[in-house]
Amino acid sequence: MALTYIRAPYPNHKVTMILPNPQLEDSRASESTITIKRTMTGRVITYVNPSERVSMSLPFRLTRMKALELEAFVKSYQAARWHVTLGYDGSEWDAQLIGQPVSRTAVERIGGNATAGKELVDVTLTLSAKRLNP
Amino acid sequence: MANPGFGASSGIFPILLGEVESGTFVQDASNTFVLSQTLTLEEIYRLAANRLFFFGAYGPEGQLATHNYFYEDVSNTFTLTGVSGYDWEDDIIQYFGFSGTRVNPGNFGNYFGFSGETHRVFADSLSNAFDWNLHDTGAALLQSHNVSNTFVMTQGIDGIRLEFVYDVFGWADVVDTGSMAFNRGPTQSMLKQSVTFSVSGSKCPEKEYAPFIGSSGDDSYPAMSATPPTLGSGVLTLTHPRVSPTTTLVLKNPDFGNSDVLRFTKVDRRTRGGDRKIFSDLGWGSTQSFELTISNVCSTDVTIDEMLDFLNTSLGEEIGLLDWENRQWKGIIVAPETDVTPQRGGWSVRIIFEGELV
Repeated sequence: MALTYIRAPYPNHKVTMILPNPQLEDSRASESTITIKRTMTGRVITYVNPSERVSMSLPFRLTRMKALELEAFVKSYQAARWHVTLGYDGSEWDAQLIGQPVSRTAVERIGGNATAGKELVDVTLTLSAKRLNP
Repeated sequence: MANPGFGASSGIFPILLGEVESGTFVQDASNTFVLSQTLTLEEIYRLAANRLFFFGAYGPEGQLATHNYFYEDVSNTFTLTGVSGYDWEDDIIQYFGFSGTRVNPGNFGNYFGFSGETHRVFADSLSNAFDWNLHDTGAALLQSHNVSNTFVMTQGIDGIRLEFVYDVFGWADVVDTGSMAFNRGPTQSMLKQSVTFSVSGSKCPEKEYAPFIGSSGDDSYPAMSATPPTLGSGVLTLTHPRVSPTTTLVLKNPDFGNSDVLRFTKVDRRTRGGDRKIFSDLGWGSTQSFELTISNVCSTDVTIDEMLDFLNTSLGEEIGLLDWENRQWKGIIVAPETDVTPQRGGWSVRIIFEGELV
């Protein structure tokens, strides 16, 4: 099964973390921007600021222990570049964390009862990333 | 001139076959390691700008080669050391195989080539050396570039009956230079080399606390704990003052949906060309905060007045928080003006706590 691999620091990897695939609502957005000006005659002039980077939002649903691993990883490497491999499409990214990782306990348990660490947690990573492979 | 040498990276990585197969009848189990190696050449080229030096020689089987005027005989050897213990040794055969992939980084002429080998050995005598080579394509050198390669190593095992199988895979990578003299010797700081690995096996590493920690020449980041924190069971308890508390409130555990937020200080700028530059210094502050909603607290356990008194007396002061996983935190209540709302038979409150693990 293809999984998500996050390695850091990029390019001198030391730690590899394996995560499940992100939830279906993951997204990518171009970081290119344009500024639009209109002249008095109505002519449209655009100024472009192209970027090869994309903003990625990767929502994960993790076990509590895996969320704690992600938390430890983020605390160590929040300032570093990450090498992210998304297993579901094989894309590889040189990424940096830009958002604040928020862990939110999901309304689900695994294991049936209130055993410590047997909860599911929703975590969304927001990254600014540059694609490494075509 | 003394032969300069590059440092070694090593790691001991467990192979999980024993855990998969212990005490069972099996055939054809396998595990896969992915070893990634990266050489950051920026510093080398920066130093070598006026003298095209890069460690290595080149030739038909070029060994860490570049085309330049000064070179050394360099060999780079991976040594695999396996240790196994088992009961039914006649039935165990292990396979080690390599397949190399390369990254050809733009105009930089070098690429890694690797001749894959598969060795069939008995597990109690597993010790093999594999050479890998960096070939020279003769293209122009850039001022800086990084090259990386990835080895995919697959271990297979044929067994009829395995009991108490355990393996330790030792990895060592040593780069030695030869005797050719040059003016500027390479040092450890010039070569940043790292190895990472991952095991996709039976242990569900995507579900458990299971970071794969290799080694890296880049030690500018704090080490990550390889062991998971210990979680227990507890009831949310607030204490004030944190040291020698005089007030203790034993509340209920928070509702689902509680959040845990990590905040870091970053500089996020865009260049005129549109690129995005993000920088964060490890010395800059970071915070961790919780947002907890506690509902249906029984008034016979803790009254609303007691809660409000606690919020007033601990105003701006450090309190202790024992969470539902039996972990002790210290910090402050960020928003003491929170509403304490009566409910049927009790009350509820929403607390934002910012602190750190004790």
